Amino acid sequence: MSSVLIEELGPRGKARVRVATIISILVGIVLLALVVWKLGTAGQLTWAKWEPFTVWANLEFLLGGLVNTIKAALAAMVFSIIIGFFFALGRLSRNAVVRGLCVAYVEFFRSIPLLLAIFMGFFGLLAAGLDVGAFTSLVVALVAYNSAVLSEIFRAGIKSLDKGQTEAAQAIGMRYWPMMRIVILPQAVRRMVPAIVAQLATLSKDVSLGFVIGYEEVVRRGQGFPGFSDAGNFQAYVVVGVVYFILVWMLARLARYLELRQRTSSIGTGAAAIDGAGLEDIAALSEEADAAEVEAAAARGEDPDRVVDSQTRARGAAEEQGTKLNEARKGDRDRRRGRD
Amino acid sequence: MLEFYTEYWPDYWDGTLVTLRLVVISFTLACIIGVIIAGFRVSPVPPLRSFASGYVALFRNMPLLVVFFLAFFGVGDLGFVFGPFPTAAVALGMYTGAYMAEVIRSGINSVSSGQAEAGRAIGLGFIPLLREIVIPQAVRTVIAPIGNLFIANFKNTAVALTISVFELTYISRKLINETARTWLSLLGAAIIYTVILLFAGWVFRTLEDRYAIKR
Amino acid sequence: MADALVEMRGVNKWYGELHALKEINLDIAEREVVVVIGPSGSGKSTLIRTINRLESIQEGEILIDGERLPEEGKGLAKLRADVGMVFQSFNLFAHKTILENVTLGPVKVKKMGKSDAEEKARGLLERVGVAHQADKYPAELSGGQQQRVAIARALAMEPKVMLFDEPTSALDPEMINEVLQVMLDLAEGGTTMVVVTHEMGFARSAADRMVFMDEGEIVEENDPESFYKGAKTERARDFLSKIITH
Ligand SMILES: Nc1ncnc2c1ncn2[C@@H]1O[C@H](COP(=O)(O)OP(=O)(O)OP(=O)(O)O)[C@@H](O)[C@H]1O
Ligand SMILES: [Mg+2]
Repeated sequence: MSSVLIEELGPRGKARVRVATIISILVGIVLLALVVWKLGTAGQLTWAKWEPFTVWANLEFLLGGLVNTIKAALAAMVFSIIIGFFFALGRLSRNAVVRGLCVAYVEFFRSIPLLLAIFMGFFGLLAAGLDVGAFTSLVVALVAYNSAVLSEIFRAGIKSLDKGQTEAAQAIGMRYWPMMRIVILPQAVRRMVPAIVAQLATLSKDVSLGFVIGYEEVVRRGQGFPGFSDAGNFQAYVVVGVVYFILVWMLARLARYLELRQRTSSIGTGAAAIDGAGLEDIAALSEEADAAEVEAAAARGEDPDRVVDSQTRARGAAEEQGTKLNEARKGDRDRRRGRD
Repeated sequence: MLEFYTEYWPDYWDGTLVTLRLVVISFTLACIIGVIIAGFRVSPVPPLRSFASGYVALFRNMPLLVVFFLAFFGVGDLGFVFGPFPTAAVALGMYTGAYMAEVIRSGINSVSSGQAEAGRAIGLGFIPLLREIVIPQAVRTVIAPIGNLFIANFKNTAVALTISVFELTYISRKLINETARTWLSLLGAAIIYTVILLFAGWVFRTLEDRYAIKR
Repeated sequence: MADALVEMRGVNKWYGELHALKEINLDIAEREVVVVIGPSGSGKSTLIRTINRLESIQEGEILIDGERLPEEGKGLAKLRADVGMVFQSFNLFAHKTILENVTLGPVKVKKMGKSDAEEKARGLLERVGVAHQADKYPAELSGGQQQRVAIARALAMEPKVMLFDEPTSALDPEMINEVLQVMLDLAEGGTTMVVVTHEMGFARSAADRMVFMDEGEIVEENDPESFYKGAKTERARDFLSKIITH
């Protein structure tokens, strides 16, 4: 278990780790006991406070909130993709005015809080005479906000596509737009699928802010469900937290799975050319992919700004390629040297 | 239009100050938590590693709003009652801290093991190796993601309005009620956010260029 | 052989189930040059990396200059300072200039003054022929130049023994000789060296002894001429016939 920082331990190191393990377990147990004790003395563990969550009508109400959350997230996702695409293309456009407008839009929505955008979608539209209701307001705000974010991801995606593709398309005489549509875009979309699913996880978290304009998503239902007064804040938010955790966690897993599948398949074809280098690389890659995914998510934070992950990934891929070439070269040389 | 802003400038100013204070405190906390959790995560002690992964997973898979409500109302029910501002600062710090830990960890892991081995081979011990090789190299890869985190953290301060912290977004919401000039109220806050965050983005990009690794 | 600089006694190492080093006994005398050769996966790198404990061992003992190799801590770091290592992939510190790469060890480990260390470093860079690159970063140098800097970096610690793990196999053919030349000079100057390499020319002109490994074992020890002309063991002859096809 040797890593960048920690080398293989000697006997003294192992003894220290054992001691640290025991101490940290004890500390953990004590802390946990304290929490449970505190919960108990505060009367939070009584059955009466949790019982409301076993009543089907209450659960149904809460799950209705979950459905609303997913509904808003999906709607926002679909429209964000479409609009984000146009802004990505707009930013790559050759027309300076179009480019400028797109940059302004993207930069604006990337530098205000989502809550402010939600207020714009709700109060702003209301002031403009459009009483569209909480759902539409929320979706409009999420779309305005996320299409800015997605357009950055798309832009990076389009740019990261092999330049050779563009050149090949140009060589066979395709003009700009047909080329974009037929060659570049489909590939960009395919490559973006994992990022889009990851973004869906973020979006479903974002939907919670619809709370402030009265959208009946999980959190609002969590404090408005019929049994709320029998339960309490603590119980309600713990349950809401658990519901959210499961939803977001599953989406994140899915995104990671898709990403890994995509990477291994593209690496697989790459490695086939340089025979042999294959299998361990893929194992190593999944580790690295994990780190990259995590970094990407971290960079995305509550809302993805610049798309660091695509950069690091590109760099990682380049290095990967480099080592493989080196290995290939080495083997080649060994063979060559053998001959003379 | 201008007279609106000259009249309500003091409100915006107060809100901006609250937001900035919240950012500074929560982000500092996030950095501290991030270092500790990342340290746990790469440590050879299994329980610490599990604790760190659990911490990160918990905060990454919950919306900030739920974290705030748990911290404010939930913990309040346990008899620990703190004011909105301290609660918001700590909750946001813990939330961003989870992301920070991941950024730091991936920064450490981005240093190739060959670099560390070369350092050990010339006789560097753990601390000198960390100081001379690992940290300087990790810092370079970590600046951009930390900049993004800072910006995200900045924007996330707005969520504190849900537990009655009178920060900038709250102010614009309040001005809508008081003046009924919705778009002007909202735009005032938007402009302040945009100016500050474009500046912050520029600062981090400059840092990034300055410390970019020469390849 | 009490005067051996490096002694390996009954060394065994496992990677999980894999028995990577099997009962290794090897003595390396002062000023001796030992070339280790063997098929891929035979444990050459593992062997050489145990000498400064970049790899731990489970059984046996390793002594350097009569001192038992410590397993951790300050003692280990101190001992590593006396063992120079050159890696296949150079591993120069990417964020430090060439000069800083060479002075880091002397300044931080040997607590040498900065200007003394720099003077010494420049001398060493001169010796390996990259003095004029001192202020560049590793990525700005060719592979051959980087590897020569890596040798200078190791030499700056005035090690008792130098370890080389396939120092030329990541290099383009036209750069191999410049690195081998530096190594030949070292060998002639009396540096104690353990070298994993398949470069027959180097082995023939510099090696005092060849060590042939296969499947984690030392199968044969021989002088280079006899080894290449007629190895004693079947396995060595078999291996040689694969890499040398006349
Ligand atoms: N960190 C490790 N974990 C598990 N197995 C390892 C590790 N390092 C090496 N091995 C295994 O130990 C054996 C010896 O590896 P080693 O790298 O010493 O071979 P080598 O002779 O240097 O080969 P090459 O000529 O390819 O460099 C191989 O089977 C290898 O797969
Ligand atoms: Mg090897």
